[in-house]
Amino acid sequence: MKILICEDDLMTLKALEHKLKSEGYETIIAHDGKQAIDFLNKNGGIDLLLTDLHMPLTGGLELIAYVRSELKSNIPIVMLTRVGLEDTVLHAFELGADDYITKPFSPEELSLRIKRLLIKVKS
Amino acid sequence: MIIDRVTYILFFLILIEGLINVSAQANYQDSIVNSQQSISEDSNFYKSYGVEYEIMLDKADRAYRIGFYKRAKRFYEKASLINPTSSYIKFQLKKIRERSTNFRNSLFYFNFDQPDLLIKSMSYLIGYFIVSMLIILILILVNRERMDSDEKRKQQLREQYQSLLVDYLFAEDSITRVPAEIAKIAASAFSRRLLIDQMIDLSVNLTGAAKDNLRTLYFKLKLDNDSLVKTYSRRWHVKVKGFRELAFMDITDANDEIIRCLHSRNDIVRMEAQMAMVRLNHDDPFGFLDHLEKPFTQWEQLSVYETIMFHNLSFPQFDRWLISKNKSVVMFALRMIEVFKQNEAYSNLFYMLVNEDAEIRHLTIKVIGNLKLKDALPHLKRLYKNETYENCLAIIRAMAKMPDESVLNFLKLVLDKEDDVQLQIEAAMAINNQGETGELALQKLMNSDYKNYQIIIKHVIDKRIS
Amino acid sequence: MDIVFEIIQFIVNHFILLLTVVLFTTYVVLGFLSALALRRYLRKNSYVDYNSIILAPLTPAVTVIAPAYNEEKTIVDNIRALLSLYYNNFEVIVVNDGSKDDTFKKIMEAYDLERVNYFFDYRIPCERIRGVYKSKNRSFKRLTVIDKANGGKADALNAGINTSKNPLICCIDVDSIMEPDALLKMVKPFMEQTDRKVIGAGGVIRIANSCDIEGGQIKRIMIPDKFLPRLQVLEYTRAFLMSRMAWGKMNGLLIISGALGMFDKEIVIACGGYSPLTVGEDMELVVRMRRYMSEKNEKYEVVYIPDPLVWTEVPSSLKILGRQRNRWTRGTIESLIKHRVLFFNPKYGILGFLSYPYWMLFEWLAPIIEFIGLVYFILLAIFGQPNWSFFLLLTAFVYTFAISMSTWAVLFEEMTYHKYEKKRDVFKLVLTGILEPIFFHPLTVYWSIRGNIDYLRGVRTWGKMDREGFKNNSKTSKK
Repeated sequence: MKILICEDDLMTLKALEHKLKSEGYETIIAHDGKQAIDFLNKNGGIDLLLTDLHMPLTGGLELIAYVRSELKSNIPIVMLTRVGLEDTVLHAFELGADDYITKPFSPEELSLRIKRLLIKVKS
Repeated sequence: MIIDRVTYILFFLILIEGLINVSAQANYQDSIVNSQQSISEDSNFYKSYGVEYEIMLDKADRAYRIGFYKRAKRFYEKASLINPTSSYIKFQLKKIRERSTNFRNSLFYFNFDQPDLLIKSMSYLIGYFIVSMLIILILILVNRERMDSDEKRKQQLREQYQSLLVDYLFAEDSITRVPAEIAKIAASAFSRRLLIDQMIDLSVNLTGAAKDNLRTLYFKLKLDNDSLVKTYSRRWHVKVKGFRELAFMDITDANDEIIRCLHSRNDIVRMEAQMAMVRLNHDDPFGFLDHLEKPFTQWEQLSVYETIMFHNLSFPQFDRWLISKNKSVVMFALRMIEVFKQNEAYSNLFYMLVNEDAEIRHLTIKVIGNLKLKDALPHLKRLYKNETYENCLAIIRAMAKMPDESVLNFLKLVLDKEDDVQLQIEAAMAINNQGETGELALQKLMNSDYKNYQIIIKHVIDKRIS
Repeated sequence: MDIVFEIIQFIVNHFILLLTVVLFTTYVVLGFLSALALRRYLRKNSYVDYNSIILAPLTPAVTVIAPAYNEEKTIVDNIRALLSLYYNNFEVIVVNDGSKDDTFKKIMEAYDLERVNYFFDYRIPCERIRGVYKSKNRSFKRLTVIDKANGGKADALNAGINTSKNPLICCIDVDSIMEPDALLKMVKPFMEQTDRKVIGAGGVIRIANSCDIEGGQIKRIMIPDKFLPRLQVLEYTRAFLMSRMAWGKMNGLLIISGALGMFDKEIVIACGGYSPLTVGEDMELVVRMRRYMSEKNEKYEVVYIPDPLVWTEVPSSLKILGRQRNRWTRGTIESLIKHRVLFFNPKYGILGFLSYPYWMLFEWLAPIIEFIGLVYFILLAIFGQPNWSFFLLLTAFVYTFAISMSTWAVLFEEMTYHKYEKKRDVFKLVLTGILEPIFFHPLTVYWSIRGNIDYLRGVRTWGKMDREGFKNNSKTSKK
């Protein structure tokens, strides 16, 4: 299972990467939306996208929009967001995100949600 | 008025001129004493040479004093024709000669009795400029070298620490004991600082068991001591760092110091102390608002709000501060009542509509609109007449947010009677928001040729704008 | 005859000595104050988490206003960069100021615009509005485009201000490149205002010549290849880090550069917006806003942010640079003369006692005085015997002072932002500083004298400022 993690905060990125690796996923990291888009264009073929919504330059919303409307891909997308930004989250759902987790996050909750989404996709 | 200003300018010029001449002053004094002595020597002969001589000497002295040496020389020479024996004149002429050999027709000719003072100081300064330039250059280059290698090393260490920490936190069997590697890191001051930074960074975005483990580790490594030391530091930027670490790791040992800093004159220290208090004072996190005298800036308000939201903290009923004497605290309370939708406080909001301060009323009107408190509509209608322009706009905007048949006629009246275009546009928008009846009413108005309704209404019903 | 010459000599000598001392002390004092203020600012903001905070609902809404005139080469990229600024609560208003080329058509096509029934309220007078446009595409919903008859930059900005819905306006040159987080940094002082109202904020402008630019964003920072822009790097660093910083600290700032500035909209409107009658509308507005607040007896502040917020391309040919400097001089004179009432007027406090005299002396009179000094010296050389040894000493003094100030500027840049990475770049900058007083300074004096002459002759136009366009630029830099 390949997961693309897109997050600009290095520490969070590290924590996410570690958690997911320890659960047995293969992880690819991108530091902003642009890198993620470049990767998707070049390699494609991931099973899940985990992205922060708020990043400088190309943000999470643009990334989600790109994946859904340009790449026409329907891989599950989980977004990371800060608390209290319901509008942005709603907008992201409109664009086609599947689930979200608020920061600060509990790694256990994250891995559960990812597991559930991947099972849903399989079935 | 003009005279005032001219005096000021003169004052400044004299002041600066005075400063420049300070160094020359001593010499100048000397020369006056000298000349007086010479005069007294001559005094036996003085009178016998007559008025013309006296005038000539006087002119020469005056010219000399202000620096017209050629003129002075001419008059001294004339005077010496009358009295060739005067030692004073000889002395003065000698001084002028000396000066003119040094400074004849100079580009810049200064009224210093010792011209080389200026030259000396200039030479020193030139030397200083060149040396300082070289030093800076070397400094920059050395600094670059150091920074580059430092940065590389720090970056390596950071990554290493991050991996260690993450490994430790997420390991299945962990938590019982501190790994030897991390303990070793915490032994040296330099690497301990880096480690603390990494742990704080990591704790920011974590919650649940992972966060608790991190905190336990912090204590086990005795890093809390470091944070306490920082908190009691005299340098503000270190102190602030201490506050942050304590807040993130939930260490309440230094609360007294933080409370003391709530009244600090340094804005940054005060703000960080407030934020730390919100997290560390478990009994009354917002108690500091009771005693706050300095303005509680919007930035601080936002920081506090973010802290509440981000860390999921509990918060009190904010109407407690609606009666605060500090205006900014009242505004904060209003904003918080709005964002947390504290409905117990709603009835108290209405009292704020008659507050003395226009800005508080403005915010209250806005909050009422956003919370859609229709009970306030009659009050708003009544207040409209005597409100400030800004607040009138706010009232209409608030009405736009809570559609209600009862205000329709009022809004039509505003549209009709007001001359200000902004008010008209807002009123039309508010009518448009009153549901079907409002839209119908606008359609009707649209068909009348009266005033500038058509363009306003076209603007208002164009959904693409806004 | 002799006495006349001597009187002249006396006055000139004293005056020049006085001036030299005032000038040099001021530079040193300003540099010192700047250093203190910079340190405090950097320490203070190392704790700020802009990201986390600015996403909150309490942040004020901002309108970015970008006037465009004949910008067809770059306009589409530049608008895209503006729309992707890192802030959650803002709108972008692009004002097409009657461009003669295809600027408007380009925007129209790229952003899928359509005309809306906008009721334009001329709160500040401006030229006729031909139409207000919005995009059909919802993802560009932040964008509003105004098409209007040509009226100059000030007029275009006024049209934008009239359309703005938000309490803060951010006026920019459409061809300058904003740092993505510029809005965050500029909004902060407005949120930090206490009992003193913050009426405006400006920041550091940096030079984009030779930098790699892609899609309206800076990709890689490079020191300019050409000598002339590099001189300006030094000039800008000195002005922004060593002088304006101190003025900001003393709340005496008279200018927020037209390349990027944020203002309180209601106050701008209350004082009548930008003045289309001057070529230095950016300075004039700030002076007028300050006057307005002083006259209303309200406490206020104009804030300076020592972070690099915007990148702009500076002229790289002597001719265009000359025109720009000529215009700056005229703008300064116009603002100073228009607001001459401030001069040493106790009612305006620091504005009248420090800022105004400073700007008058340093920005307007200094080059003139320098010019007169030169003429005087030449006359002396012809008719008298100048004291050559003293002359040499004085020249050496002024020269070493100038290069040592430049070196300090390089140090400031190094200590604060450290933007130029290569070690060679430091040498390049210092070398530029050594050459500057010889080659460049006489030219700036010349341009400023020309500006004065033009002002007296009643020239009030902008003069053509050809941009090379960033696209070309990035191509040349890749060579």
